[in-house]
Amino acid sequence: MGVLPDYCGVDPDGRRGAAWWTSERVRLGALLCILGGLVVYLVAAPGSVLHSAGGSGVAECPPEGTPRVIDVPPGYLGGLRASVAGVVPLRIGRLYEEGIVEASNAWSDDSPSRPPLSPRAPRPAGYEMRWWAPTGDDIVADVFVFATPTQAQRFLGDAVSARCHNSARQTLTPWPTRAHNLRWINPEGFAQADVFLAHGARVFRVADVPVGQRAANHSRGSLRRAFLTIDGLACLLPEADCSTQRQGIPA
Amino acid sequence: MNRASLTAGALAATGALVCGCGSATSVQVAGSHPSPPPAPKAQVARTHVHPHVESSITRAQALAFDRAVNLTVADVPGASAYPREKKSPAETRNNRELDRCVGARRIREIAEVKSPQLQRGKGVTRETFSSSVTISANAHLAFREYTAARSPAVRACLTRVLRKSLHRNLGKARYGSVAVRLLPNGIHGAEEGAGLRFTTTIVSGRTGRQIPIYTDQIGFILGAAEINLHDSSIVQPVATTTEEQLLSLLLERATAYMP
Repeated sequence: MGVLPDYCGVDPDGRRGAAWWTSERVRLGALLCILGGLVVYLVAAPGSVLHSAGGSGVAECPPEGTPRVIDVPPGYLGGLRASVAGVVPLRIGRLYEEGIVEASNAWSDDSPSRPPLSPRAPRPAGYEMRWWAPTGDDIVADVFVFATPTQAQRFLGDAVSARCHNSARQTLTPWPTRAHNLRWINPEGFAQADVFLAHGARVFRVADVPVGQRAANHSRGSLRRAFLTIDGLACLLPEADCSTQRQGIPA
Repeated sequence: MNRASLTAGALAATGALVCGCGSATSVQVAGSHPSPPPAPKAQVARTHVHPHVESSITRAQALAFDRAVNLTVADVPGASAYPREKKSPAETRNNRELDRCVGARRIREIAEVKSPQLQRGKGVTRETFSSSVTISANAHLAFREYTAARSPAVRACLTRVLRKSLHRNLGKARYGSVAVRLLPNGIHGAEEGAGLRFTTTIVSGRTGRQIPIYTDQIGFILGAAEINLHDSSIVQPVATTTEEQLLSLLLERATAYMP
């Protein structure tokens, strides 16, 4: 039997028969590396707290004080549904989901809810419909009803703010009148184009998630097309004013 | 289960949609989908399942339960309610033929209540919904006939009956293919669940275009109750999530109100 080599001053007799990873120093170092990597992943990954605030720091979303939609009798929802159903008329797209939504859906992208257990119970005055367009894009139309026009405007201001949207940019669009465009990365990690429009105590949203446009590889061209689509569809809303000539394509 | 309602409901719903279309001559279809839509999977939230309690339910209790569970106009935003039509002699004849297809057995029914016909939209966007709740002496045995439709031979028989009935009932409206398809069974929280999709096409007299009509019938068992959802739509089926929402609602009501 020969002499065992000296491993950087470690007593070779003590390491006789032991693997290198059994060293306490090695194990501690590996643990610290793993923990560090986990911290970086949690902080930097899409959907993380920093990303949801556009990388500008932690923020409560939707912002505190954002108005909620009012509660209404069941029969009221029929009119809300009718107000957005015409956005994609005549089965041009494939309707795949619809139902009651809260105001927070403007941020969360949560699925619409089913009706409450009791047929007489009041329900939130928000309604959403979702379609697959023939192009594969995901088209969404919402209507949110607030207690007053002032609350509707307050909600609109929060909804189009970049503060609570990942990688967001907001612009006014000349068409429909007084509508706002918002481009952002939604909670699913896809590029999304929204147009918001207020009328009295109601706020409408039409959104387009172009097919295949993940955050990492979305193209300006596809979002430009998406804005053209939703601004056009928004003109089918009953309260939209599209009488002005379109001046140019939003950025 | 009233075996007749399995496909009689499909015939009634198809007829209502066709008549609502104005003899298929005024239907405007802006586009069509290049391939058939995928079959939906009904998903319902898991809830507590009640034990089999058939022998202790009175007729009055059963009726009260049935009425509490069924769909109402409040459950389908935008819908209007229409009373169900009484069975005609032709429908009774159809029912007997359907019973022969599925090998139906006589089972004592304690109570059955059907919801009104709930209709929304117009033209190609028209949709209809309804539900039925049946308390019988042996709901599981009754449901076995529903699941008989898993057999291709049974489905072929149902298709033949449906085709004959369309020919008798639609009058001058022309129709194309007729198909019966099994829907995936995924109603969590129910003891048994099954669904069928009936697809027929009507032919527009003006353009010659074939317009598909989809009728889904999905049922499940909870204790002594058999609960069914029926819906119909033109050009594309009713959205899967809408069916899931309504099934979830029916299941939760049935669980909450079970005597």
